[in-house]
Amino acid sequence: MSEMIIRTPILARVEGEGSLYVRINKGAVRQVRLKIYEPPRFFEAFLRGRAYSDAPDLTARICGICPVAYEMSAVHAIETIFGLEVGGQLRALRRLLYCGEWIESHALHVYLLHAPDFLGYQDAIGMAKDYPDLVKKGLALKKAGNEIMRIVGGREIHPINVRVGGFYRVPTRPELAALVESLEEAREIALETVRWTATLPIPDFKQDYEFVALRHPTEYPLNEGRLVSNRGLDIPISDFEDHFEEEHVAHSNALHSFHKGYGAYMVGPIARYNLNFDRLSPLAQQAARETGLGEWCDNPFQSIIVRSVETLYACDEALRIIREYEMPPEPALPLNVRAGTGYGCTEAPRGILYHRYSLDENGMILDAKIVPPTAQNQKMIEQDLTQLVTANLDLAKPDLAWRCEQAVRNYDPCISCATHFLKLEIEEEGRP
Amino acid sequence: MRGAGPSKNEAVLVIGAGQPWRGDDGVGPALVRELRLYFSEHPDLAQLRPRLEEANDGLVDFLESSSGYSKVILVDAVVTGSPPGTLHRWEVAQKPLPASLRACSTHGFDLGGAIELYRALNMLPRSLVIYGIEAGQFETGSDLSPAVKAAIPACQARLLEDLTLYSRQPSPPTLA
Repeated sequence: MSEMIIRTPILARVEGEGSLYVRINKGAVRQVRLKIYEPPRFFEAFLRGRAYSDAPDLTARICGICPVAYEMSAVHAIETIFGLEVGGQLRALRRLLYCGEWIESHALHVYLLHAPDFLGYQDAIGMAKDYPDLVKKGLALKKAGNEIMRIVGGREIHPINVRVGGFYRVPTRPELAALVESLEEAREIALETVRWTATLPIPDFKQDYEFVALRHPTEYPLNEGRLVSNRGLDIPISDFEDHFEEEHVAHSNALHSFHKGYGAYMVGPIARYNLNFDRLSPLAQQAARETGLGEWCDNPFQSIIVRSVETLYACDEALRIIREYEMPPEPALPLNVRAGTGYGCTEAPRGILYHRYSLDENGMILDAKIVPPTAQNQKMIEQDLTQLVTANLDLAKPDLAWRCEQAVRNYDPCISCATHFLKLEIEEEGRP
Repeated sequence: MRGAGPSKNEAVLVIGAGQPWRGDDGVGPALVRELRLYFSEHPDLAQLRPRLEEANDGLVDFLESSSGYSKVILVDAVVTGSPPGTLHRWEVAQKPLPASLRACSTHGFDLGGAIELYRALNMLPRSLVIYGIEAGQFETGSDLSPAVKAAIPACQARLLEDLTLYSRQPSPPTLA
């Protein structure tokens, strides 16, 4: 074979429009491009001149799957400008809301988007016909996450209850207690999910990754922590831009991030897991150990297991928060609006989401910067594909293309919606 | 939102799907608002009143929230190539949506995909009717176009016929 081209012309819409292009020549991978051609959305630009209070709700609209992440990174950034520390039960409620998003997002990806790859189905509909009970469990798990979003966030998609300083309304104890039964059931399903995903045929693959995630003194990271990596990074989130940079590449409308002096890096469930295994709940740790996953994972195809472990943790953590909940006297803390620059970085289901805002003395946004997890993973996805294709040149083209798609979905990129609609086109030239 | 009067359509859910800020995409929510107004102005018809909901996103979630209802009616904007304002009606509990309506949507589940997923799981409501109103434009921030706005009374009248029929039928047990 002198040249082979794997081309995926469409990676759908909504959560991102992209395609995949791989060119192989004389037995070597010459070019791998994850092209994101969705038009730029200019959120950072149109936030300028808006009030600080608009930031959480406006940025939440960036994504229908992880709106809480955007709300959280925004409110934390702005609260640092106002010198405000939201603690106690308000902080716990934010964590609970984030657990809801993790459960919902991870369940969707594990069961409806990623599992069909491992079981050989084009989509979840085909899989549902043969594995109805499995898919029903996935939907039940997702529903438990949705319920948290509805009760704490005001609605399931694009919740509207988060504000700088706290919430517009806080739930009563009985309202949260009503979630316990479905969450206990969800925790059982999540435990089964960990065991089940560990039985899936996982392709053999590994790389020497730099993993980057938040790390908190006592908690598995959601809202807070320092940024750490397995290559010695240990910085406050306010130093993010000193260490990470975004660059424009001609083939993508999404900026590519890299760690200055290091290069590509991975964010998301595996990075969090590797850097924070000791912060998981005992139940989640035990479940992970039982599967043989261990405390360290460098095969991105195992992300489906890690995502399941995190889902189990999120159910466990949500139940803990609800058990200890006391309704706070006020839904939000009073604010002292002032000028300044603030930083927020929280753990979206797909990895760290960085926000920076500068406000004037009236709280109007002068400048905003948002670095989402999928932009940070793009370079790593391309490197995975390069190595994967190189190691699997003997596969038939459809199998190789399938494996490439599966590898993209390891990262649950916001373009993953599209990857299930990929119409793979493979061109070969001059095959001997 | 349910009125004070007793309804025989408590197990009927009517959902208006779409984004009110995206031109004709907002026709589903607009129709649900019209129905709310209609029932508030016609307390004598309280026995026909279904559960009325708007859904701006997440069609997989819409089916999830429809569990517990024996009959579901969804009103949505569609693009099939007919003139704007054309009213379509499909009963999909027994057969799939036309292939022409299948399209990409959030995370790979368009309306047809969500319905087929639930059909595969035997989780569809016993009756699922979709009213599709042909859209002309999806301009951000714009109102409904005149032809689509003009189609609302006809759709409402047809839907009230369904609700009248449902109110005369004995309620079958709902699916879990």
